[in-house]
Amino acid sequence: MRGASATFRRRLDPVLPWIVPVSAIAVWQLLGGLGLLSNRIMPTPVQVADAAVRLTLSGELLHSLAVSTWRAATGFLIGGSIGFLFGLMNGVVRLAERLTDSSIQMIRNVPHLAMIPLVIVWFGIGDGGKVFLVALGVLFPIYLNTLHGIRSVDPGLIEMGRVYGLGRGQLYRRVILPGAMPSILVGLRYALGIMWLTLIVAETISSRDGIGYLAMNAREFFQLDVVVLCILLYALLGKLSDLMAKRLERSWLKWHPHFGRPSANSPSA
Amino acid sequence: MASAFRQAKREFPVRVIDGSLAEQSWSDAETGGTPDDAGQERTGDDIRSGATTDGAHRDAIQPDAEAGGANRDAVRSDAEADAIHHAVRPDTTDGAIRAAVRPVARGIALDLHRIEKRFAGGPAVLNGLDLSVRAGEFVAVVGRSGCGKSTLLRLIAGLEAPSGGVILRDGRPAAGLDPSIRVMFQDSRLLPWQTVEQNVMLGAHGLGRKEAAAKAREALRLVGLEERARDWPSVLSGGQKQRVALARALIGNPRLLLLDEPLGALDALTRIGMQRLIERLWLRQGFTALLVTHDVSEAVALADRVILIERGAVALDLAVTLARPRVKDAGFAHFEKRILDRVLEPDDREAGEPPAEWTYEI
Repeated sequence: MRGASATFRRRLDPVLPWIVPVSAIAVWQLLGGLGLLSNRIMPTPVQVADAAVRLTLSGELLHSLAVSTWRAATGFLIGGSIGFLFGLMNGVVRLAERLTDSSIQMIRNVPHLAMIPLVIVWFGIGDGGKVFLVALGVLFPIYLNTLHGIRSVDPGLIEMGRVYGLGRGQLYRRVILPGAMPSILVGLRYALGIMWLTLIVAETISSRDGIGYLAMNAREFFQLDVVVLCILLYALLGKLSDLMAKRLERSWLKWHPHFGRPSANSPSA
Repeated sequence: MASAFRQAKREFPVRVIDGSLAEQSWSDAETGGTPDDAGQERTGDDIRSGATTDGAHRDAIQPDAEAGGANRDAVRSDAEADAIHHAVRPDTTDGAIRAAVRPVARGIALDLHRIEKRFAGGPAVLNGLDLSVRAGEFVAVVGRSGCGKSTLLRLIAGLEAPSGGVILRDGRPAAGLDPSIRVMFQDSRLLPWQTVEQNVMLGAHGLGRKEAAAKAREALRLVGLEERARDWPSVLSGGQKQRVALARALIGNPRLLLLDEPLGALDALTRIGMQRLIERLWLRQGFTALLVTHDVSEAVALADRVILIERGAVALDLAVTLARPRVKDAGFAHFEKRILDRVLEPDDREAGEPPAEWTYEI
């Protein structure tokens, strides 16, 4: 009996996270279908799906997705690299930290979205401005978490490395960087969230294409189904990038009891 | 008390110089010879190379008044350092006692002369400490919390530089970290992101990958953790982690092993197992061992000599003349009591404090 219920629970486990969103959509459809929710305020899921099919067939959806993803990825790559390099440098070289850390902290405290008017003047409404804003938004969480990760590496391990004759380069590669990795990955996940947020705002305010533009444009023509579709797309994209970050954690932190699965010789007791 | 002392003396392990003669005479000495027999078997060779004086020095349990190592030559002559030491110690395998020849000369001989260490702004942690450790000797350092015993270990390891005085390793001034010196810390300090095997290989880095891996397997087999080679350290118990740390320390065949309370965090049973393991590997590999501990019983169980550090200097230097493997008999209790009594002796500096507030790390 007990074994059977355990198997059942194991089978149910992957389904669990989907129960809430699926029932929410069901209730939403029901309310819309019964006319309790006016279609002028909120289209039903079926209408949204309909819009998705329509836009996919016209190619508009894929184009918008591609444009937005490209901007997000480019901005993330640029900002993430800069943040990581500065974090690494300032965690390692005391002089560099004294020189740059307080300046970086000052810039960090400016909400980067406040720069949109300036960015429009600098870059126009093309890709450049969006990539710039995403890079700026992503830079700081990665910088802070890299710096913090390097600082919080157990000094005992570093001392051990020295006793065992690790050179400076080896010490960074084998001890300090892996030690900072959990913190760096936290920064990465946080930065992914900021990446989409920045992009949405930037695309909504000033753009010629992209998902944000799609939503804004639909509002002009009162196509609420497209607006809702765009919002759902953001949720999906956010979830997708989070999944990727989780996958990274799994493979890079597989030594960590919180992330890895137990190895072949799992603890006997 | 007196009888315990006599018994302890009877069990004094013989240490003779000149290997050719050693094997035969020691097996005799081990199987029932008395100290007198052993003394008679010493030849002219021993006298020439200074064994008699050194041996006699070690025979006697030093009165406390002699403490501080003032009677030891701070720097030993090269001739003596180069002499091949062989010691026979009983090594139990399957319950049988057999004599083993231990190549003592592999270890590093240490000479510390008037060592001082003060940290910025603070009082001196070590103040004119003198200590000589022979090649292959097992020395335990005990003392109250904060007496500077761990600092002493860090100075010898080269992790820190003394504020004053000289540290000689094999007669040469110590200069920083040395690959032939390995340290075992209180926490195992394994890299959590590397497997057990990779962690052990860290101790053999500089070798080729294949060779290091083979050596790591061998070292893990010595500590009985062969089958855990591919595990992450996080799934090991505290005792297993320390065994991995021991394997990592020994894989490079160190000539000096520094042990900084490595068993302090383990439970009593695991600790006894680890003590036996450390003793066995020490007997086998012939390195010099310096154990910092707050457990007097552990010090007596493992060490040839127990050093008590007080007020930054050596306050007691006691040769533990018990045969190995050591059993907790009257002789053992005698040594334990001697050291404990000395540690617990109220010292003048703190005489003003109420006894209730004293904390002893023993």
